[in-house]
Amino acid sequence: MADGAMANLAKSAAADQARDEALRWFDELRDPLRRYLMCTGASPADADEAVQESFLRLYQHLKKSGDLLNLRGWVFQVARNYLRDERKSARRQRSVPLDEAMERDGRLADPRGSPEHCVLGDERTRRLRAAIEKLPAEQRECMPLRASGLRYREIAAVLGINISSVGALVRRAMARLSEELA
Amino acid sequence: MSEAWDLPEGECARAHGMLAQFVDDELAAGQATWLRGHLEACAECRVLLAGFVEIDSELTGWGQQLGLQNPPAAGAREQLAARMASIPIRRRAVRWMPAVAAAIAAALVLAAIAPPRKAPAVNRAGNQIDAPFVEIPYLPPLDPRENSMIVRMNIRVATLIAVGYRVTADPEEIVPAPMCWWVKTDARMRCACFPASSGMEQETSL
Repeated sequence: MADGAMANLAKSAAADQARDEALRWFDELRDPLRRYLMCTGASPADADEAVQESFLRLYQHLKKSGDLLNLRGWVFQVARNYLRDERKSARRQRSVPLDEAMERDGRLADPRGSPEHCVLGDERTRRLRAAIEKLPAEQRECMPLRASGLRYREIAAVLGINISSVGALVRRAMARLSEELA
Repeated sequence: MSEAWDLPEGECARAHGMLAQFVDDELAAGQATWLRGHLEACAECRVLLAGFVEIDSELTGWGQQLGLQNPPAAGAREQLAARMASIPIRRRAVRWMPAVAAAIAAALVLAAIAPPRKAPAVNRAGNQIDAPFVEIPYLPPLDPRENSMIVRMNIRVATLIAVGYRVTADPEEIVPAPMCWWVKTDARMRCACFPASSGMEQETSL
């Protein structure tokens, strides 16, 4: 009985520690994670929901003493997978694919519309997004991560590749974008 | 410009590989110095860097603008903390039934795989040994002068009879018996048993 009580006490302490740690990561990563998700075409509401789910899963991961290596990359991948699964789900379709978002932006003319509309209405940004859509998948993945504010070293961690590979991907992507936007 | 992006060779290739970290100001001091020197000498790489920085600025500006114009919902942190708190912590519970079931299952498995019982052994005197004597691995004593000990053990009467004791009790009865174990000079372990019911003693060796 005493062993059980001690074990329960230890579990409570571990849960508290996991919660504090998850909230600390939330404070650090929420903004870049939201930006990343929105750059991949998620609506702000979907981005907020994906952020909540990602950090809830991080909390449970930490509570179970999961792997602590590259938690930044872990969180981004969880959020990305969550959004992908939600998009696949037929139950909800609030997430908007990038091309649809761009099409919709073209139709919206009211400057007092959503804040997102104001951004997407910018011609140069639209061209940039269109150019990114044409990139090969692995190059395209780097771009929203960079737009979210991550450093290239951090992008390498999120994608699980080394910094020199990121450098090569980005250089090729930049070359294509530069040609598209010239 | 496209020529500058393509087909990097030699030093230019090395420079291109450093651009991402250079933009983030994360190159080691020596590498940064080398790259600056190369950029001063190489017009193509300067053009490349300028293009890189331009697109990079647009990318980061795009993300920042999205974030500024779509601020996160108020109270998101508190909401997250509340959701974390609502997840129950699994308490450790006493689960007798699974433990008992596991013990029974283990016993059944052991019974099923246990080897068949061997034919009863016979001692030198020709008596049947119903139960084997105690098997004790030989352990050399730490000190030759401290090589004996007395242990009180429960011994089946049949076993005592089998090794030569004259015991009148029921052979199936188990009796407590002090036993003296020692190692003789030939390094073999021996024991003497003193069944309380018999008052006899006899030496046997293992």
